Amino acid sequence: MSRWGMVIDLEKCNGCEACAAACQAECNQPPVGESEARMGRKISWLKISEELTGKFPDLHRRMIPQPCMQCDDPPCVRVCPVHATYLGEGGIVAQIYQRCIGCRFCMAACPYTVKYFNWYNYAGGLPAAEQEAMNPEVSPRPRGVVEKCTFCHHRLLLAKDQARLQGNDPARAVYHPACEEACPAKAIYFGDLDDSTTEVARLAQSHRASRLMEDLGTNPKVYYLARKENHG
Amino acid sequence: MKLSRRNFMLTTATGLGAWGLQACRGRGGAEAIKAVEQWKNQLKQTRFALCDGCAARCGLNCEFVDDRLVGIRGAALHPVNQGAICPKGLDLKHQRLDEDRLRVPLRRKGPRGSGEFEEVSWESALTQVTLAIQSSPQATSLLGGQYRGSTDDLFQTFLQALGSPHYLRLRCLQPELPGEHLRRMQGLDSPVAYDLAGAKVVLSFGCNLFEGWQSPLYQARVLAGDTDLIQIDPRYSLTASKARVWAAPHPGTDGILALGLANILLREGLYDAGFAHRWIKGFEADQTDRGPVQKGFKNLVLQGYGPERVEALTGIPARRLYQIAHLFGGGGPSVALAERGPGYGQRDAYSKMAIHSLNALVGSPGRVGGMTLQARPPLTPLGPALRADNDPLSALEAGEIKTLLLYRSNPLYSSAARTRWAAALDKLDLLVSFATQMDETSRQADLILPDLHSLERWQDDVTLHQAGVSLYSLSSPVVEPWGRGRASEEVVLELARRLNLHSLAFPDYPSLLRLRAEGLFQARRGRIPQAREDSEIQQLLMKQGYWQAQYDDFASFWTALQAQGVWLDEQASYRGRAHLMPQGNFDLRPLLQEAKQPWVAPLHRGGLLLVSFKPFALSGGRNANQSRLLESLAGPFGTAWEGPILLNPTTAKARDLRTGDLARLVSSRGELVGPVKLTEAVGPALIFLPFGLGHEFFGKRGSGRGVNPNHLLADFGPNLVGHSYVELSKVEAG
Repeated sequence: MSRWGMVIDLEKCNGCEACAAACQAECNQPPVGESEARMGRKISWLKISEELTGKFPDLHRRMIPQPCMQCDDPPCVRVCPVHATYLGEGGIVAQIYQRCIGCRFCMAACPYTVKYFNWYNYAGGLPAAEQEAMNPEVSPRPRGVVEKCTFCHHRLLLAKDQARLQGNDPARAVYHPACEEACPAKAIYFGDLDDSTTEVARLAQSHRASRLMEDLGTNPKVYYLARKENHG
Repeated sequence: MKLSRRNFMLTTATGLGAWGLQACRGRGGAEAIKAVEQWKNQLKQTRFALCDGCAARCGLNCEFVDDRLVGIRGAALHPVNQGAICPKGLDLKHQRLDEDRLRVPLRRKGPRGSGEFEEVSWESALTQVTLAIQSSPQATSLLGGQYRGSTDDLFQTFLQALGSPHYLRLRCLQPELPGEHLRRMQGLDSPVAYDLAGAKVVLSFGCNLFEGWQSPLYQARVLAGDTDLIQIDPRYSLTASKARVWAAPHPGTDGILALGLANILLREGLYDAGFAHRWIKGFEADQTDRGPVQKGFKNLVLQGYGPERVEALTGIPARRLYQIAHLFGGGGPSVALAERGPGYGQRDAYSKMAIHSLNALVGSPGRVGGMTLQARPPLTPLGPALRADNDPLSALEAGEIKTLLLYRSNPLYSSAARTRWAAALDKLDLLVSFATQMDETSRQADLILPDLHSLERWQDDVTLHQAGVSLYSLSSPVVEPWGRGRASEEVVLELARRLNLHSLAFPDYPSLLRLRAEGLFQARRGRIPQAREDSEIQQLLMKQGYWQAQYDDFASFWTALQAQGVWLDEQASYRGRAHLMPQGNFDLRPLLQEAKQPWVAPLHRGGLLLVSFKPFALSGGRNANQSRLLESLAGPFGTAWEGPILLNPTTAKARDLRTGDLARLVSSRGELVGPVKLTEAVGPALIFLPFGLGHEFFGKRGSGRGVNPNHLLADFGPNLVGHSYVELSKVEAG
């Protein structure tokens, strides 16, 4: 069984937001509109945080793309009263939208604040033509439901189908999420962390690799490669 | 057994179940499941399209399910983006569905600018344009914005057939032409490509490599490795934050900074003496041949641009100058970029030539990691070229133009000289706009003939600025047109038919493109990339001079070109120095002439300097009505759906301003009010305003949102300058 993980190289990432936009397009995250966005209700499963330190002109900036960290010990799963969110296949933290009651305990529990709530039926409010243009592989979420990055789980299912068709072992199927595919700087690596032959497993062991808030013990499967220390 | 209702149902259900199982076994259950899966996987179809979100023209794979466009991905085989995609490309499928799009021909019925239009038939609209052109064909003109490829050639041929010399263009960069500095110093008449992939050090003067310059996705890919980027930019942009060294000079002092670097390179012997001796003209004083002994470049730089003076003028500490000079001149192929779109201020020519002189010092023309020339793809020519007039306003003001066709240009928004433009457009007998959105200039139009969305029409493009590859891209429509719009190229061909212009006797635009592509097929070079695995071997062979025909006849070549969308030739890259300097030398004397003019101190005492910039999401110039892109502004600006005035906290504190407050900016040209955002990314004496919002008219979401820096910027003629002095004050709430 694979253990899917991601490595994001902050040296390469230039904050262009291609990954975030690709994620929104792939997983049918609609724009929430001006007034909702101003209230901080924007839905972007992969958000890019800017960290700007120093005083002009001695500045240092890091753009940090943050998808769901897909923790091995996810706090969101523990607090869900209806078992709508659970640790699924390949270590992907999955969510059953139909089961979610919108209590938002998981949002409060997530230390990375990467879960998003549908305050309204945003997808249903889109013009009919735009609804038709949605990705049919991913179901839109109704009002009152929490959602988050799924590591493009639907692509994993598709890859497994392909493997079956080609007579290969579906358990060894390999796939690539939309963010990795879109990144122009090739800053995102994705693969099986338990397979030592993969680039992602190698990079996760790098001396530059770290995870966000490791001390909380959530064991996230998203690693960051620090910027190289050559900035003058 | 008594046949009760219950027994009847039970027997029927059991019988049907058994029959079903038998049927399944007969066909093979696993095979049936496999067939379903196969069907599911084959449901998705992919069609190639060209992105027209910005001037980079990436390749896209559009994904269809049941003829519905459901996804867009980057095309892996397109050399520009190689599978990557940006927010603008991803949003094309929604841009196409914008309900504010103009979808029927419109004729003005109220006074000009009133916004009152009525729907008309194409026949009626085309008759009106034909009659106007017929009455004075030589007084017909076309004003174009940013586009390349056969559209450009078609417009040139159309105007030439009419006998009109007025082909006007209004844009920041002219990708098909070399910059003035390249023409004057190297004698070039083709654009150069900077070999960023091969360079060890890239010194960029204000070129926003990752946000808007040329092909941001290509640059992101090739500069993500070990290349040392030095970014000279007054703003700590995303590009600057990825640079190894960032320096923020006072705006407009880039040329002085460049000569300050040249001073250190010369004094410390960090320049390519062999190149200087062989190629540079005007390097030493005694090399001049214009009468009395004239100062050479070396004298000028060593005497006038010492680090202390340069520090005083530019604000860059001398130690930082040494750091940059040593990095730039310290080995490895280096290249300096003097191609900032909005120019370098009032001394634009001087600044560009000063920056470009650094390329001469490190010998970058014609070497790997330096500058190359890309040959134009061998397309069948339509007719002789008609050089575009890049000072359209003066041409219009001269009053010789009666009918103007407006294509992808909105000068009343994008030019700082709005008032002059409005007056010049008012003189026209007929203004025809091909716009897809009711923008500021189209509201002044007499006729609107809406173009199709890029995914709905034939497109092609010629890319020459990417080092190592001469590239032609082509895409056919991938979706049905929405509404009664028509491709502008088809409209021009229809006008040509009605005007009996024999040089443009094509039944439709695809047949014109087909004729052009025949040139590619007959040239016996280049290839259509088919698969990633093949391409490396083929590339290697072709670099060694081998060429193998991929297709037996033109029909199969044409089919493959439409499917793959790309023709490329890696051999069409000229690195030989003689190609890069057709005049036989790298002439520094034009720079010496420019340097003679006295320097005007760029910073206004007490005032703040306003500088505009293009955020990545809006760099296409026509994105202000796209909700997803507006929402993505939360990334660079912290707040979605707006483009705030960016201020340093020190500047803001002196005026009691906080993030979110409203501020008034007043310049000699006008004033505007907008929300402020405090950030350390801009210097204390500067104010930055994003360009791309602030439309008066641009659909429901785009109108009245944000501010347009052009309302404040000074008008310096055809050169877009991008900065101006302003006064800043707080607007009290209520």
